[in-house]
Amino acid sequence: MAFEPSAVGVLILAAMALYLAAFVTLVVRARTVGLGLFAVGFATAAAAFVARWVEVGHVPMQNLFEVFLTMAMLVLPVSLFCRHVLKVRAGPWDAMIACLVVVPMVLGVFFPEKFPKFTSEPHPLMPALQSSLFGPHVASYLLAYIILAKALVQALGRLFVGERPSEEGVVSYEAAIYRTAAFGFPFLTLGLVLGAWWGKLAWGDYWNWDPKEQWSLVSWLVFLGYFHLRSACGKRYPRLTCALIVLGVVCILITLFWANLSRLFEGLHSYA
Amino acid sequence: MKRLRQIWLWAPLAAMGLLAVLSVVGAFLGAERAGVMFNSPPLVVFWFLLAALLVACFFVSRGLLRSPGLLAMHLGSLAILAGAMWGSDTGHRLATKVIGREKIPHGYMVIDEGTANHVLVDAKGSPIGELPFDVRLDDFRITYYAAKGPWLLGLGAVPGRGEPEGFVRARFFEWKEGEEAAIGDTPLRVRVLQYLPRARPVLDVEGRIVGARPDEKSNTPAMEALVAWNDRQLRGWIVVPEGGEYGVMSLAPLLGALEGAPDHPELGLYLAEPQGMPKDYFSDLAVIRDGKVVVEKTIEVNDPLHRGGYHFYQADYDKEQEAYTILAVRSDSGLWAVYAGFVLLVVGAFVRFWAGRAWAGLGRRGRHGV
Repeated sequence: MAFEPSAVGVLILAAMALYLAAFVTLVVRARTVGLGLFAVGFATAAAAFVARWVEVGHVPMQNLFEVFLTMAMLVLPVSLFCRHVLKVRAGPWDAMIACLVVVPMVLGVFFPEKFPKFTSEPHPLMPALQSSLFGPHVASYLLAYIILAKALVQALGRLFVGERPSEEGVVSYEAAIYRTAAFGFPFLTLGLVLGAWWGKLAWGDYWNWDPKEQWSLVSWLVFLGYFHLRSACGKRYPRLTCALIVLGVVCILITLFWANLSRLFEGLHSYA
Repeated sequence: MKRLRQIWLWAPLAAMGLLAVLSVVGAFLGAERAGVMFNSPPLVVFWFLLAALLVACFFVSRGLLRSPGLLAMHLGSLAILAGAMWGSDTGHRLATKVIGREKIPHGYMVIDEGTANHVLVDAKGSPIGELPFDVRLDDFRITYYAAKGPWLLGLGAVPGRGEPEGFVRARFFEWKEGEEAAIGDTPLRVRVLQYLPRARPVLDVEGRIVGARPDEKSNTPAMEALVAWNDRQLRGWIVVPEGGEYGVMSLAPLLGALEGAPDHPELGLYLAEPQGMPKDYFSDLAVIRDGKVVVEKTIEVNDPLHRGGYHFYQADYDKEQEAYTILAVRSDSGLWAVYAGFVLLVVGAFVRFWAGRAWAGLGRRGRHGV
């Protein structure tokens, strides 16, 4: 086992343990302790993010390792915002999202040879990435991904648990799906547009039909389809709207993983 | 009427679904073939239908006109579509036929340092047209990230005529202090006697380098080497000047003394800084119209030059000698419509989904009970 005992590696491992502990604690309904562990996990992930930034000398969003590091830091703030502003149920699954986000990084730190795409080895920024749009473009997407992952949890809840009477202070699954998707979709749109603008500046074309670009368009279209359906039909097709949310997140996962990991999709974004 | 309403309900969803499916197919095809597919006649028809559908929205959907966010999103999508169509190859051909505008949609320019050019070529290098002005390349250069590891030792020639100043053409080889190494496939051998990672030169009374001494304040190294060819030897120092990227020891005394040695007095043993990956590429450009320089700009990746309806991007370069640059040239037709569409789409999305409905938790309730 080729473990690199770097500060970032240790912090990531600690964050994963804390997120996992938070999930278990929240499942057994020890809410205060669970939230406390979730918060410490967030602080640990944030410390890893800062340490990585210092180590590489640029905002750490260059490769898959850094992308997941950033996302690991976003889950708790998104969860708290959804709970307190959007009144969306925040359960143990938020901690599970955080835990799953950390897994690829742990693989990259522990098994860099088996999972070279998740490696934590730092690289300087290639010329195309040295843009003021780099941070906003990637950050918009990552924020959208985390928010829409939360919409996925609500959609799965609606599909497999069924609609329950609204608990005090939180809205129904149906409303929660809409609110989280509506919260995340503008960020998805912003990420897409910033990417197109940046592509124009770096490569000369705002749209290159690159596989990753096309998958990101597919994700955007699926969520757009959800809103069209929701707007036109209201709550008439709950299973169909939930399925669209699930499909949208699947497309996001393909954009994030498959377009990077598969040789099927060699393209301008292969470095990411 | 009910049937018409149903068609109106499902038509946008069908269009979005079809575009999504086509994009998935395009992702599997790869960028180049996907570009061909999306510009093929059947897909051109699809783009027109999509645009028509968006236009129809403004007449059919009353709710659209009441919602500023939705209106902006639809207008934005339409502007992006219209701008992209206007800026496409077909759009350029149409513009030439209809309004007589002669503009080349895209191409490349290969420009040697110190020369001007106005000919556009395709990806294979065949000429495809001319610009109404010249673009001159004053200088092309690359900056590199500092690389970790020892400095490189190699046999090289001092720049000849026509080669850029400071350019080193050398063949590097493995070396270790105290050990002898072969210099590539030549009969020369070199033994590194001393390597000082931080050093300053020791000069004689005439200012010639006769040695080096360690100096922690220096950032450049020095090396004492013994070069041998059969029974003849040359011992000397390679000292890299402070802030320099390489130092050189001439091999002329050794090679010149031998019968049949290559007549190349500028052959030298180089100690060169290892280069990391390229940090950026720069082309100093000047646009010349009617013999006068109308604009000068140093372009780099992410910072193109915009002039005369074209954008000029740093695309490629001479990898051997860095003596020429290759620019990607793109027509700006339709671009401002696309940019306006981007702004409308993003602002519309935030207004539509953030103003009011998504924030129902703060006290307001939307039409759909959210």
